[in-house]
Amino acid sequence: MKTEKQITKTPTSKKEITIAIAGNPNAGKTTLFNVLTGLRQKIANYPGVTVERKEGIWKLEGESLQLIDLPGLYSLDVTSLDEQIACDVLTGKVPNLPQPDAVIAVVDATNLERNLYLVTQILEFRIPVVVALTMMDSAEKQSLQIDAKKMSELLQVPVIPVIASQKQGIQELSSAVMKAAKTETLPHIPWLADSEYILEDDEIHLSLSDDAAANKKIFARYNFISEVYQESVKQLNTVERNVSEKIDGFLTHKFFGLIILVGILLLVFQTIFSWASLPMDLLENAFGALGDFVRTTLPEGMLNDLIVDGIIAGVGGVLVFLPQILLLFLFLSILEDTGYMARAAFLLDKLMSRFGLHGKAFLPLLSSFACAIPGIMATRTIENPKDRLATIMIAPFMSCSARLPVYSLMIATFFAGQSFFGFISVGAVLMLAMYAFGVLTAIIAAFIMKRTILKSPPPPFVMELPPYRLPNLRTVFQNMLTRAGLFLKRAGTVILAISIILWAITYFPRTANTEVLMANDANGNPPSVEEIQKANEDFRQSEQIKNSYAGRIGHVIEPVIQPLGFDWKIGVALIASFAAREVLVSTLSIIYNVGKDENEESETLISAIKDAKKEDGTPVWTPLTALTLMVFFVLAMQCMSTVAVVRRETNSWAWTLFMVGYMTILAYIAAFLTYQGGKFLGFG
Amino acid sequence: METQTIIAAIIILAALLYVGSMLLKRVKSFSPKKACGNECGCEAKTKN
Amino acid sequence: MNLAKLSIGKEAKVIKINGNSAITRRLMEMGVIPGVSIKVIKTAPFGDPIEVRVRGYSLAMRRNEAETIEVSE
Repeated sequence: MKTEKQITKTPTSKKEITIAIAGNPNAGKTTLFNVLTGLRQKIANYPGVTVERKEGIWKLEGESLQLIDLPGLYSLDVTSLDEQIACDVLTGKVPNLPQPDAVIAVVDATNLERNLYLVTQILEFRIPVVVALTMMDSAEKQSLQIDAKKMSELLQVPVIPVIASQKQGIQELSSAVMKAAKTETLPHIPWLADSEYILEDDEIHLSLSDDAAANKKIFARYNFISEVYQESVKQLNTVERNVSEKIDGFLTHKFFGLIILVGILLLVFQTIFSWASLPMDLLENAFGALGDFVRTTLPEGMLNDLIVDGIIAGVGGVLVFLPQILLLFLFLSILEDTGYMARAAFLLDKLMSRFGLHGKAFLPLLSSFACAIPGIMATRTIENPKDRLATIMIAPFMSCSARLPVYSLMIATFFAGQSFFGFISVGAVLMLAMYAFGVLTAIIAAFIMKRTILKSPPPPFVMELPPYRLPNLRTVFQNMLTRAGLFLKRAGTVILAISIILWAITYFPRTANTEVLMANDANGNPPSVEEIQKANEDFRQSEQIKNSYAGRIGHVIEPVIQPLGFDWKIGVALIASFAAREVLVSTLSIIYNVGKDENEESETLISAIKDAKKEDGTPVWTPLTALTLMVFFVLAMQCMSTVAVVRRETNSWAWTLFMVGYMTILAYIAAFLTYQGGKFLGFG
Repeated sequence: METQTIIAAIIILAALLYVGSMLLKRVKSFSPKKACGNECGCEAKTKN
Repeated sequence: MNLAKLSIGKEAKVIKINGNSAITRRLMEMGVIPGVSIKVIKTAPFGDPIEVRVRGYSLAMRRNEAETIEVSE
């Protein structure tokens, strides 16, 4: 640690000011960040690692400040990767990212002591700090009287109460930050300099030896904080059980708590399914109309086919699912922001530890319902490498949002409008069943792995249960907007490119026109010219796909997937969907669109799937095929990006290949059992 | 050749190039992170 | 006695934390250090983990961790 004598920091010549924003989880950091930057933010990754890095531009007094949102942290002691990133940012060790000129420390007024702990650690980096005191209204309700001025004097840093959602205190915060960023004086850290805060060795009642120095620092910080707290905060009168505790009595009740948890999950899936159906229908009709419009407006030719059958069918087929994905993220973000997610982990920890999983694995696993990639990244909070590996290995079993379009398409085609007892839709139950199937498989896989290849003692569990809060609408919507943006970007880049290539491999090589011999009809009349033309065209179209490159590939793998009831067209879609799961929908759209009569009325993908016939005239798809495909998708490792992330996070090809292998084998076996079992029982 | 065919060919080529470059990027990201640089805590032993 | 043995609703003072692991450090950083008072709020449905209140906020931990924290009423 540097000594107090160094009181000036090196003058900086650069123009742009960089400000980092740090704070405990649940302290209101994201809300403040959103208010300061508005929509001028971007999400990138830290180089070399996959932690999301959120940056924004903060317009202030005519200058543009670079604002970096650090991950939510309790300390900077570097036991987890998030802490490591924060530490790297604060010491200026991240490439292309200057060391911050000042840090806004977001401090929850209702939880001052623990929040101030992080502030003392940031100050030890000798970076000017401005404390933004949030949740002042909640503190008032708890009869806490906080003297911000006194606190500021004691900490020797500005302390500004803010209510970010109402933009109160933002002006004061801005000028304090500006001043702090331009100051030449380094902050004071009396707790490490003044012996009154530092305990003698024999006063430390711990059985620790090698970490005595580090522990002494922890005590010194808390001793200093206690002093600040006692002098600047008054508890006016003792409050009885507050609202949060009353709610908690219900939600974490020994019996009702678990029932409520299942109820909430069921409600979420039911809502995703029913609310999204209207905008999805609208989108689907809009893309259908757009396709027809282009088809008739543009002169006939290859480009016309490419745009209508390739781009509009492929990209449109995936974009239709935007409403469902938005709703999924809406619910995830509400569950997280209200503080319910932590309670769910609390309720389920015992159950999860029976299967050898860490309670902290709950959050990564739940995030994996949105996407396995952030989920796998979130496992970094799990300290024990074996526990972390076990969580990574099962995270892709959680049904991610990219699987949603596949489930939705299958359910909408074969199970729409059916219900149990008249009010619970079969679709919602089937959807929940797919999610539950993934979870169950994950649990069993974890159970087996933790007893064999990843054996280790039961993992520890220490977690904050944040107070219940109403989610900030602005934050929730901004989160949805960001996710929508990422989804649209994907549709406009990866999915667009793959759609074009897929279209090309179904379009080439061209099949020449053929003559079909038609028999006279039942009354002995010869077929009309139109009928012959239509038959010729139909035959040419089906021959076209069969002889195309895609068709040839499909036929090669057909023997492998035939026991699952899949034909070669589904085979092509399965291969293509390794790039991204939702590409399955695009591929089916393209395959069925290319094979479609051009003069026909534009039909939806759903009716195309229903009408698809095998060569012997029996339907390709039955409800059993749909179910089999869904089961396969629950378990199969059909995602290139996840494989890449697992490789990087585990730093091992062996684990990555093991994961791809065991998931694919499981998926095949489960799909095989579903299809053959279903056939045996007389379905399909 | 027809104009439509030429434009379609260009689009397909562009798509192929894009997917190719994406794959290359992915392959690169498969390679492991370099050993500890001067990052803080990188060498810290994990205790448990 | 240790924290795991403290009954629900009881408040006690932390006197010592046994152990030498990342989790011991984490507990201390979360404010559980000797001298602080700690109260058991409730247990989860299957009896584990437990919820405690320390420095004005709620913290969940397993009985295994609670056993490393020595307290006196």
